[in-house]
Amino acid sequence: MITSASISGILNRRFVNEDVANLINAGLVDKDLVNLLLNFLATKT
Amino acid sequence: MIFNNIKGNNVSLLNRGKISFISVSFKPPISDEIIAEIYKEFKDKYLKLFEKEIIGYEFSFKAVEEGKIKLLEPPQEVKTDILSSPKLMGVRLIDSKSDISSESINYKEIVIEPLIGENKVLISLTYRDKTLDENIIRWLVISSMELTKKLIT
Repeated sequence: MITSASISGILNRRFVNEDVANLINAGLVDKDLVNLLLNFLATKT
Repeated sequence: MIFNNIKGNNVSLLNRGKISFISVSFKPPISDEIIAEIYKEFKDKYLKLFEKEIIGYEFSFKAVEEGKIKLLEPPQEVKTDILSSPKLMGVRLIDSKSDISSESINYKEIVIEPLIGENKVLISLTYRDKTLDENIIRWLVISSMELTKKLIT
């Protein structure tokens, strides 16, 4: 019985604000999470 | 950083060193069919945005199987108290071509270890490769389970 699993794509660089913009434009980010996501990139990079 | 989900399974971004990961983590119950199905959506919608910059993929899972690992006799010349301790019995299989480092994109490993005090074993698989598709994912799940069944009583 599988108890946990994950699949990742590995990028040869770090995520930046532009990536968040691309995800938003593609309709893949909930509005409520946009600021949190940008804050994450600002503080963790 | 979790930013969305696919059918209840978390999608997240992670910066680590000079590389980064876009991941989908599955919530139980999980089957090879669920993994393959979600992967297709993940690839078509999310990975597509980063297509040109993706240098590899990682698929990993943990599973629990009933049974105990067969007692493997260590070679006579290296027999010690440590090796014969039942608490340390386990099997770790690594692909001989694997480059073992946190930033490696070519790494394949299966670990099969007993859950102490229970008649169960834990199977952990980590598979990093430049190519990954639904068929490889299904094959990894099924072949890991079959290998485990051969190693347990």
